[in-house]
Amino acid sequence: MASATARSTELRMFLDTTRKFAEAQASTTQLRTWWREGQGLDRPWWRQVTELGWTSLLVPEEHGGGSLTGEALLDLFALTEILGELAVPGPTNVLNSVLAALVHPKAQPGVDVRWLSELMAGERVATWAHPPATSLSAQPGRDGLLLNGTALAVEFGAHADLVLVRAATQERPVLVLIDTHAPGVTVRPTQSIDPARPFADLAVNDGRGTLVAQGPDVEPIVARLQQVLNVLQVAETVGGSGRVLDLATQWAFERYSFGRPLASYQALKHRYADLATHQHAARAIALRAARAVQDTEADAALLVSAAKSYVGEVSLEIMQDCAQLLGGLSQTMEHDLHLYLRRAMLARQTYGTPYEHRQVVASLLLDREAAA
Amino acid sequence: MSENLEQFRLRAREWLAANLPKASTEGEFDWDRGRQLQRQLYEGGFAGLCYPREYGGQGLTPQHQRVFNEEALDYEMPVRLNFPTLTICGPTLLDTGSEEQKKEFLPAAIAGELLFCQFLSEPSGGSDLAGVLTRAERTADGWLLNGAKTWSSSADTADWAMVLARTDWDVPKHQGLTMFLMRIRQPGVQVNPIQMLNGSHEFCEEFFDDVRLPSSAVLGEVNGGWAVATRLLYHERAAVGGASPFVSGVRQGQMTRDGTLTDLVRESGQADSERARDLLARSEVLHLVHSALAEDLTQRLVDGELPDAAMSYIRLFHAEAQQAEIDCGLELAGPAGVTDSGSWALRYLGRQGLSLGGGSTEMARNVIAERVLGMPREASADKGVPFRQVRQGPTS
Repeated sequence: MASATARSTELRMFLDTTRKFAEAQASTTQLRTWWREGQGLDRPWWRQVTELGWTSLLVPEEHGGGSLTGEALLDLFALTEILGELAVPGPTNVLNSVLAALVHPKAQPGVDVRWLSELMAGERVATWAHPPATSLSAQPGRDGLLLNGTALAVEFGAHADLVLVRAATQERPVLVLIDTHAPGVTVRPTQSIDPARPFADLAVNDGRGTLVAQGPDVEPIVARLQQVLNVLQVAETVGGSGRVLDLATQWAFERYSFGRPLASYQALKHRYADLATHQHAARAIALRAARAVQDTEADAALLVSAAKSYVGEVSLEIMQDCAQLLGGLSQTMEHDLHLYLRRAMLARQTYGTPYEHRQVVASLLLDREAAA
Repeated sequence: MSENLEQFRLRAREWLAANLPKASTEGEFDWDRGRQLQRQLYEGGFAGLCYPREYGGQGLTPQHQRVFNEEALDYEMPVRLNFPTLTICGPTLLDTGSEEQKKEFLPAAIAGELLFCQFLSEPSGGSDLAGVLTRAERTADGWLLNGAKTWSSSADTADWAMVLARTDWDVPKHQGLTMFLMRIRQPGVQVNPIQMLNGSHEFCEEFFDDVRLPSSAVLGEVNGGWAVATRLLYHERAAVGGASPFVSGVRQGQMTRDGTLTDLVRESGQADSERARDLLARSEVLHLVHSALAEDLTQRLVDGELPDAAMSYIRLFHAEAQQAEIDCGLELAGPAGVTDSGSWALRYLGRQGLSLGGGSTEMARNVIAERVLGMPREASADKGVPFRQVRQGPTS
């Protein structure tokens, strides 16, 4: 096993490669082209991406994955923050989260070998149907499970080959991978405020699914998936708000009014100080939540919901205040700000809003203290 | 024999259980009791964990201090000795004191025998600290101090003070200052407690009338007082923001908290109200963020990723989180918050103290904008001007 220094050197090289690739192959110029063409996901590009290792960090070595430092989620956090900073498209967040669920010790043996290598290699794409917007029943069929119902607002739903869903038989909850190409699945793409992060509604009518887990094994896997997904989402979001703040800060030095730079006005300096404080705070709680999930700390759920609610709100406040500081330019399609703003809006609204996560925080606090 | 963190935790846990009483409901802090508790910690080897061994400390890491603080949460601890003695004045002495000064003062401070306070702000100004008017003049065998200070925390219970005075009036303001170590109870020093708007007596004002100081009282260099003050301010920002590695008996990233919002929600029968839950969580989330920020900044300052001025981030955020808690508390308490002589009303009365004490948040914003983000400094009329010629008021 390599030394800690060697391992962190490896991580640094990995992040450098990521940054170079993203700057060359996933610039905001390209992102705009995909937008115009209404292309949510470019498959050849995605296969290229997976060769860089963006989809293998959470998968154990025996299945062809592996982390760089032994702290896979923190490695992935660092990667995702860069993807957020550069507004890189693609289903990395949701796909990595599904992979984390499939390799969970409580997942059915055999599930992993069937799908993992194809998902990691970009030959298939998998996504997750967030339970509150999902209503699916399952019953045993001749060839696995038969599913009926709907899954709404599924991220990359129209591009995914497999959708992981939570459903229920008459007796117990089940976690099922639905094959979207099999008969019985109708996919209806919906509008998304970020065309490079498309959503779709799924209607399932005797669709076919592969069992991933059932009964008491379902909730721990779902919890793990949601924690990973929320951590990656806040990592991406703080990467984005950091970038927007950098743009606005640079502007403060370059833009002159009344013969002096914006950066020399105290009223604006104080705004920038607040923005920088909030950006540091958002990144700190995001990283703290990642650490807690990485180490399976007792407070992991609390910290994840704290991060999701704080980052969900403050990232948008940072971006909108930056828009104000950037002036009219920020309101144009030409400026990059809206690329980040759209993604942060999606992040705020999906997988639990700030208000919903505060309700989780409150119940963890009140229930915990009641139990103590 | 080297002890790892977990072994240290177990040793601390055993020692605390065997030696200290559990914390009771907080009344007025008893300073004699505080000194005695500190003495016990010192004798048990749990005082001054992050101070070097040669000055009475334990030479351990901030991680050890954090572990100790976690273990000590339920025990009666001399928490008030942290501010400013152990987290601000002690570390400044460590940074700037002579070998003799460090040997003389630090072990005594860590043992609870000597409490410090800071004489910095003056009635004429606090934010413009380098503009102090208190003067120290050379005599045959030392210095003669005259002037007035204010906003000194706990000066009436402390033994020694760090006092910033002007020693040269013919150079620009930063270049003519000297920091002195002075015994508080001596002829010519008058200390008056200030009654605050919520009835508390946390601060004092002081008057100096021909106070004699020996030459050995100078901390750092003569006319080098600003460098010492800069270290004081750095440690103060860390301490006020809850990010000092020297803070003992308080969870890092968290100041002392009387009565939590969780208790308020439950005791007022609002545990089932979604609105009350949202208010509670709003405040608690900010506390979690504050803790995360304190930890993250401390680490990144140690790693050299950020300049010292970045400590102002935590000063600013701390005020924001604490004020949000008070606002939520008052809202949740309803009419009882103001009619039941509740602590939330008293805390609300003194709400702005959180963004004034330890340097105003306006100054913190200037520091962040100018020293971290590199934005142009505010224009100052006293820049490069001999202090004697600087205007001190509308008529001067």
